[in-house]
Amino acid sequence: MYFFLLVCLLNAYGSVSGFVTDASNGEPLAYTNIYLENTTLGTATNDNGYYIIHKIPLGACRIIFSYVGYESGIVDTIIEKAQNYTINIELSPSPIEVEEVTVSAERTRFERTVEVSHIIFTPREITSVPNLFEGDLIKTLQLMPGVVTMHDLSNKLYVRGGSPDENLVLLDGITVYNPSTHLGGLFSTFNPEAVGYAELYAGGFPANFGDRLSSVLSVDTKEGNSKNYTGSASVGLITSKFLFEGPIPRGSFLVAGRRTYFEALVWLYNQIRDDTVSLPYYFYDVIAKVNFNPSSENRFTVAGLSSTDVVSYLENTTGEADEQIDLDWGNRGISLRWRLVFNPKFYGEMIGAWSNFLTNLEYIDFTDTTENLNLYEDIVDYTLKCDFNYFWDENHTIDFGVDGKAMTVGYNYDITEDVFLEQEQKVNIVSAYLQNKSFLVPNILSIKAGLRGIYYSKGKRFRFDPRFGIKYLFKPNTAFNFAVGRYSQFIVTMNSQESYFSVFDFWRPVSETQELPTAYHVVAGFEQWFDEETKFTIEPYYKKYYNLLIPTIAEIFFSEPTDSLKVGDGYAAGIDFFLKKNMKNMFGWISYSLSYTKRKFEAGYYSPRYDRRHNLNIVLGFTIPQSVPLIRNGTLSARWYFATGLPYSRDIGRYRYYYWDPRSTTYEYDWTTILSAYDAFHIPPSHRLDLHLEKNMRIFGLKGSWYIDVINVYNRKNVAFYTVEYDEDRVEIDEYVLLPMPIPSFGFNLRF
Amino acid sequence: MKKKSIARSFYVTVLQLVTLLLVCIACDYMNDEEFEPQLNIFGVLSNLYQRHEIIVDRTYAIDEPYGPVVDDAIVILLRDTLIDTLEFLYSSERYYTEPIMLDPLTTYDLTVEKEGFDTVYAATTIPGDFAIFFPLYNDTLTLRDTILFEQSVGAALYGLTFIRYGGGWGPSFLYEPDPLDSLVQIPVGEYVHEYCTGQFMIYIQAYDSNYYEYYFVGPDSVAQAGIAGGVGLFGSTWSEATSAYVIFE
Repeated sequence: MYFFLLVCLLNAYGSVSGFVTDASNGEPLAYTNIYLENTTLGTATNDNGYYIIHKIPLGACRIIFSYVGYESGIVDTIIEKAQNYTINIELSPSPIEVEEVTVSAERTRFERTVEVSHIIFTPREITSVPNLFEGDLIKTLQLMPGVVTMHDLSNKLYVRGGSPDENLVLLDGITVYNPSTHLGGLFSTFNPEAVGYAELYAGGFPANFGDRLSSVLSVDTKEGNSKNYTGSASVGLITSKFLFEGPIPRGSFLVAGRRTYFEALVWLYNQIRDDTVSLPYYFYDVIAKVNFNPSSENRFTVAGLSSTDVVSYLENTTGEADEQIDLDWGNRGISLRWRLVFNPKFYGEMIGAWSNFLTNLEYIDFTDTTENLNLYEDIVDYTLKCDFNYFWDENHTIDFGVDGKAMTVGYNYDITEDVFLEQEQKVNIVSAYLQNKSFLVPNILSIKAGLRGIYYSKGKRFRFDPRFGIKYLFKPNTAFNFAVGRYSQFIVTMNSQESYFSVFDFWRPVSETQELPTAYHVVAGFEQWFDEETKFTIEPYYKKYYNLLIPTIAEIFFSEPTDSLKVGDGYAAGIDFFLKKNMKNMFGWISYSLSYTKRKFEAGYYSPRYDRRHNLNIVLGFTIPQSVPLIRNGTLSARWYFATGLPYSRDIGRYRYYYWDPRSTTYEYDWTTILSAYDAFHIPPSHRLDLHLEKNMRIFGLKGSWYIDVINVYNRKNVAFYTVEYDEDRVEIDEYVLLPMPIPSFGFNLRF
Repeated sequence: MKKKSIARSFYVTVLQLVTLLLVCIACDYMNDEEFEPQLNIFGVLSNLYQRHEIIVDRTYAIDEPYGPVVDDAIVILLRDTLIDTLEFLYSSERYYTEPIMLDPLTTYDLTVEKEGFDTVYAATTIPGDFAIFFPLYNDTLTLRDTILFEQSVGAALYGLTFIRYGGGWGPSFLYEPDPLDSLVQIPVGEYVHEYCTGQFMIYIQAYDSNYYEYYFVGPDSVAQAGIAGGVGLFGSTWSEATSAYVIFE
């Protein structure tokens, strides 16, 4: 009888599901508000624009799709029987400025998800922030709370006391092992023209992510315009970029490329100044994507990345080639993604990905071939990942998935065609996760609880990493968040993450005999929306590390296994403040972080090089009023930061180191130095103002813009590090300033 | 009205944030390390000598001009009832003991005082005496042979030095023993890479652990071998000698 009543009850309802996309280009609209008029029923789309509304009473209803910056979509339908109705809808952009899209998505996300330390980026935020030479995703991330950088030119992410190798970086599902490889680490691999969506989990990330201790940066390229052929081209001071996208039958494509002409600029400089400066370096990268939708339930996406940096130097002093150095490195990857709606409640995505990072150094000495050497390192990573979402009802969603990774790290070192060292390490990591998202009290109290189980083939070890998050919306605009979790890492870098400059990392799997590096995150969050455009968050956090494997700063253990690394513990604690405002004609944010980062080895706790105590970033951009001559229809943005100095050590004393020389029967000595404690000194606080001006215009009937960036406007000489030069008579302490003057750069963009 | 309230709340929050920031930055104490100079001691007691030498020097701040060794310190060598205040000799710029015969397996303490510096306390235990089994006097030694001697108690390192009769140096090398071995066996061919033939005196010096630490820690770190309150080395060595006709070809 009870069962019969239940069946009758369920048959009194229907459901509606589908995708919401942008009518202008076919891009999915994540976190669109969807609700039934005059009811409390509603939902939001997920990251891929998919939605489902459960328990719609039979009869006529009006469904409204609302997304700020877009004209609302209204669909009248009749739910006649207890079944699902598929409604895919395209929303057209309204004349309102597009930047408000982010606000809408973030606000909806605030109401619908249990997440802490989560930051979303759009291309506009990446390209509008002042930058040296050109916009860069990683550089923009460095302006966020909890993210620290080592110096003015560093392009590494130190997230809440974690080193860069503790960040999982994904591009369209492809693991990117070295995201900041261009121009000595100045630019990241991510061509800003191609980035469609980027999200950073600075801590407490959910069970569907793993394999790293600190953070997750997931970048998705644009889907490709499925409506029209469009594109853009831009010419900057040292790079040029292009992007072309358009429809194909039942799908879309996108291809974007970038190349620097640094070597040509150096050549030009030599011609003008009659100099012989040599910097035979260039880089290029290509990102491509093809979408194919055989039906609304199926979508196949192939995405690829190829990025290469090349240094090629030929020494020619005698009229004939003396020696040649060829060094190239880069990220490559390809992924095949299949998104499938099994049934309206069951949504899945399967990814097969190949990722590769290659480093190759070849030295040829034409006068003495015994000096020839070849150094080669290669990471190959095959990933098969399946993520499924089961939308149980309007208050419960179950996520589960598996993630298998087969990874090979190969490296060899040949001298004069003899193999001096050749090794290959293989490792398999298989993970499975299950997590439940539930509204315990609809629209007020929600939880996300998950468990990630991992099998690591080296040492045949199993790990279980639990994750838990809770959100309490005690007012419509105010919420408390809390997240806790355990995180494991299975591959580590053999080069120090505290180096001031490093282009790429040497990764190795943790060996059989070592304990796995582990971190525990505890994050509490307070989130307040002052209005639809302004949010404010406070997030205290504590992160405890065990079994960290860390190389010393001076050494690169190229040929060593991870057993040679120091094993230590550590912790990071701090509090992040973030105030963000995003209006029609103005955007900006203030981020401030107070953080303490400590590592511990035999000698006790110390501060690593990236332990920055205070970090303040202020970003402000606005549309230039029409009343301003010459630069109307433009935007002006500014970025100012203040940061207290990083710890460092230096020679503080010297003494004569005596020894007995039996052959001269005298005491001899060498001068030697006394190094301070590792974190005994602090570099002076640094601050800097950067400006970006962009003016929209039309060139040959095409939309375009030119831009000027000025970095270090008031010529602040921020010290990056010190060196000590001395002999017996004198000592010189030199400070290194990486931006010794205001540096302007400019360029222009063309859109068609 | 509601908008006003929101705006006020917003600005109050910003004000609180800025105040907090200023307080935090003001409280950020930069605990930069200051350099304190210390005495730098170097002395190795050896049974080959009767008057023993100690160099007393100091460390300098990295940007401080360096000066001569310290000549006005109070340097005292102690052993049981022996209290010897060392005398500074300007010609060689070091301190000398009175003539004393060292006893093996005996601990000698050294204190060095100078105003303005921490007092240095140092100690060394003389390695034990030992017998050489091969080569004995006038044996022939080739690269295929093994030098054999008794392990010196307390020795952490051996130094072997070949001195040609009538003057001139032969091979010289260090050997790190296994402390569990009662006999030390050194295959000559693995350590000697010089070609020489002739009659040689062979000195085998057993060094204490202070000496070993000083040389094997090396100059990359601050050496404090057997020393507290300063830097440097206070060590000792016990030497035995033999001679052999050497054919290293």
